Amino acid sequence: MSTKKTVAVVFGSRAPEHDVSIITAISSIIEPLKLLGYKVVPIYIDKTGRWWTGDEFARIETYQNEKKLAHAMKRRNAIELNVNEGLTIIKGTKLGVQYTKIDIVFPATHGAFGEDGSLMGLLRMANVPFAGCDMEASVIAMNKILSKIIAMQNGIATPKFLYFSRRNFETNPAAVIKEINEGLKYPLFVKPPHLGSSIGITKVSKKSELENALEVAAHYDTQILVEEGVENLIEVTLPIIGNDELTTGLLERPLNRGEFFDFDTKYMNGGKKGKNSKAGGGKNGKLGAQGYSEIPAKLPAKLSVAAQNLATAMYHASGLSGIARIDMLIDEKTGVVYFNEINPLPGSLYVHNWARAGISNVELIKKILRLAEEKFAAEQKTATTFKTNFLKQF
Amino acid sequence: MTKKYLSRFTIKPDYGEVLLYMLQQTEYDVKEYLKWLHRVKNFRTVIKRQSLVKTKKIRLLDLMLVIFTMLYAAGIFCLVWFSEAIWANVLALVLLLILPLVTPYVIIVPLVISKYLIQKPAEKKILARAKAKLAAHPAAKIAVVGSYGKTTAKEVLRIVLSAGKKVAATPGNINQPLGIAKFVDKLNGDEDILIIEMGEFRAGDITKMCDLVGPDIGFITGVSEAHLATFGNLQNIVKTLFELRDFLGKKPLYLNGDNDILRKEDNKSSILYSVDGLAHETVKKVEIEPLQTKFTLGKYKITSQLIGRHNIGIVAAAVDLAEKFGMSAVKIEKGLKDLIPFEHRMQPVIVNGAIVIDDTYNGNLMGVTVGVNLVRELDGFKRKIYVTPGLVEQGDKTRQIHVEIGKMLADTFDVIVLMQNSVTDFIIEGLKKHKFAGELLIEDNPLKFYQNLDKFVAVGDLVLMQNDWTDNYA
Repeated sequence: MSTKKTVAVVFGSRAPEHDVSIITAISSIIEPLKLLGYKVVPIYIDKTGRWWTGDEFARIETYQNEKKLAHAMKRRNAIELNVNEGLTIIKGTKLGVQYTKIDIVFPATHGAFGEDGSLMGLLRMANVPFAGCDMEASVIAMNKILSKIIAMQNGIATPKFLYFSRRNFETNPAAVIKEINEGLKYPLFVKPPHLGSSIGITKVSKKSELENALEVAAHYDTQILVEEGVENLIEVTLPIIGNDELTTGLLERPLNRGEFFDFDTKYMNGGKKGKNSKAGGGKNGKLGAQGYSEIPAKLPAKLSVAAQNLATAMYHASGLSGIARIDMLIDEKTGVVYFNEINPLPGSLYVHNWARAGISNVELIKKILRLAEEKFAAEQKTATTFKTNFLKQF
Repeated sequence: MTKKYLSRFTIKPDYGEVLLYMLQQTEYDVKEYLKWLHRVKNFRTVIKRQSLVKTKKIRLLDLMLVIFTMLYAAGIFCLVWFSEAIWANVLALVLLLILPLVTPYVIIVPLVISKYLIQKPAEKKILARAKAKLAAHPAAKIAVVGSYGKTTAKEVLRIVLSAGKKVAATPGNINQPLGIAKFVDKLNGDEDILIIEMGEFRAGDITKMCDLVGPDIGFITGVSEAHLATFGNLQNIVKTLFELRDFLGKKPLYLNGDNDILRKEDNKSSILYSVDGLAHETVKKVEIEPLQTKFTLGKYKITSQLIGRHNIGIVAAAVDLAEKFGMSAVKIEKGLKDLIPFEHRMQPVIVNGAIVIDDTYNGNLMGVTVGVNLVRELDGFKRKIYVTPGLVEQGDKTRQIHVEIGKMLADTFDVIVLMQNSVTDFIIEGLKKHKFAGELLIEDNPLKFYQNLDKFVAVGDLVLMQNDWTDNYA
């Protein structure tokens, strides 16, 4: 095989989606990379933030058995990073110290301490190519307030919203509640803006439920986002790959029967929440990363086109690159498509959707790596030094 | 040489386990086992595809191996203990070093002894009993022979004829005398038709099995360069297959007319079946699709789930035979409806939205040609992908045949996945000769690849997976 580059896949981390990240990394990234002939270095960040590497960490069984995981976490599997002239992994072995130079990094963490841009910041410092969204875009994507502001600034429809700091709410809750009641129409959604996987989100139908919902969001985040719910709702999502030129997957509609997806519905129950949901997802259902869904979403052509256009516009507006998924809300009666949120690293890369769109998991990985290298090459052309006499004059 | 020697000192799996595994893989065929022993370069990487099944026979051999090793070690120990002479120490060291070289041969001694003292006489009895039972059995006996296509032909005949007759056929790919005898043992005696597949490895094999079975009707499904390693040349294969015609005399013999050699060998007394049908009933309106094949044969409008043009002939022959057995059109049509693809033989399966044609039981150039031709006929796919480890048992034509395969693949497929082994370079040579411009992937872990096939394919892909390469050919 011609490809012999070393790809480090970073996953796990200190985030509620720690376990989901392991699945994304092993199933959708590491296995295809191996099939493509890459030398894969799995880098596992445990729940306390320690970094590990070793073949054991590329096997799902390691994480299914506490003893196996503890065994894998033997001292010499702990790693250090060297960020001089690229990224080098330093690891102890029986015979001494082993240095592994990394050619490309594939970040596969979900949520905080990774997907939120922090990992990308480290990789930028190391000046190593990496897959997926860059630091700034990840920060925007993982902050629902910022991404909604970006949408508004770019003329992209998004449900009306207000946001507050936790401190603001805790010192004067009555004022915050008053502002919400005067400024927004019920039902509302109260969200911790930095968290993914629907953690801490509450749907509020009555005024009496609002304070409790705000407290829940404040428990998880330093900011609180409150937005209006969309009526006659159809939820759709669209995975996209690309830097400048984009390739879209298929518009996908989660079959959640009117209830919004919380963490358990997304990952624990296989999407079978709600009495009416059928195992198998019905005739057109497909088990995806978020349970059962309709691929492609059966929508009037006009709405499909509008959703596709909104998603690609938002992808560009936020400066996303590599891969991301744009979630949208549609008011079926009015036909208005709203931007909801961005997922800069879709769970399992949404391989089920790409396969339906004619792009295999292996092809998807190849494309994402190529995009990473293209982005890196383009960035290397940007000047990072500037000659001045400043120091001499000091 | 040194590397091979050192690789015998393996712990997981241990050396004994590797030897026993290979004996099991070669079905205790000592010749095949010895061939492998001389060919193998690294004992550590032998067990890839399967694992050792601990049968009674294996446990017994394992025990013998342990006893032998203990006695051998005791001998060395005594030599060192009781003699102070330098030569004794040197001899002990030599004996110790040659132990791994001796062990593979020691292990076959009990096999060879038991073969001639127990197995052969027992087999003789079993075969005699089967022959007597068959001679007294009133059913019409159909013998199916050929370098390729015989299992498919047997299954097509069984399914179509079963719609109106009580039919029994040798199961799976059982096609050797002992297997046939075991099949005969289970017969009720009230069957109308018996279909018996016969596999040939050496000249005289078909005559022996005809003598056992006493067929009334014969089918020769194809001739190609299969098992060349034992036959030497194609002519010997033809001669062996036509032992069936010699036995049948004036009884009906069906020949696959799609095969050039069989057509040439026809002495006008045989019934030729082909993609065009039979002499008295022609096939028309053929439509080749990825999941089904449509055609008409006289009054029958056939939609068969058996894919590929090459299956049309045998279906037509089955209809002809069913009519000769007096089956009604209604029953024949029912039989045709029951035809479904056979496991690992041009069996289309949907993986991740892609159409994957599993033809991994195919093992010869003709089968490869048929598969590739089918893919050439099918349009409307985003990518055409071919997966193969290559063909085993091609004798001194190994290179020529694989270069030929490479040439065939070059202008048909967008992606070619080769399982790394001794013929990989020959296929690549063929691909280069025909300027293959697609993507070439070489996988060194076939099992892992097959298990992860879903990651390789997507909607719009057509995948043809052919041939199998078990560990004993490594």
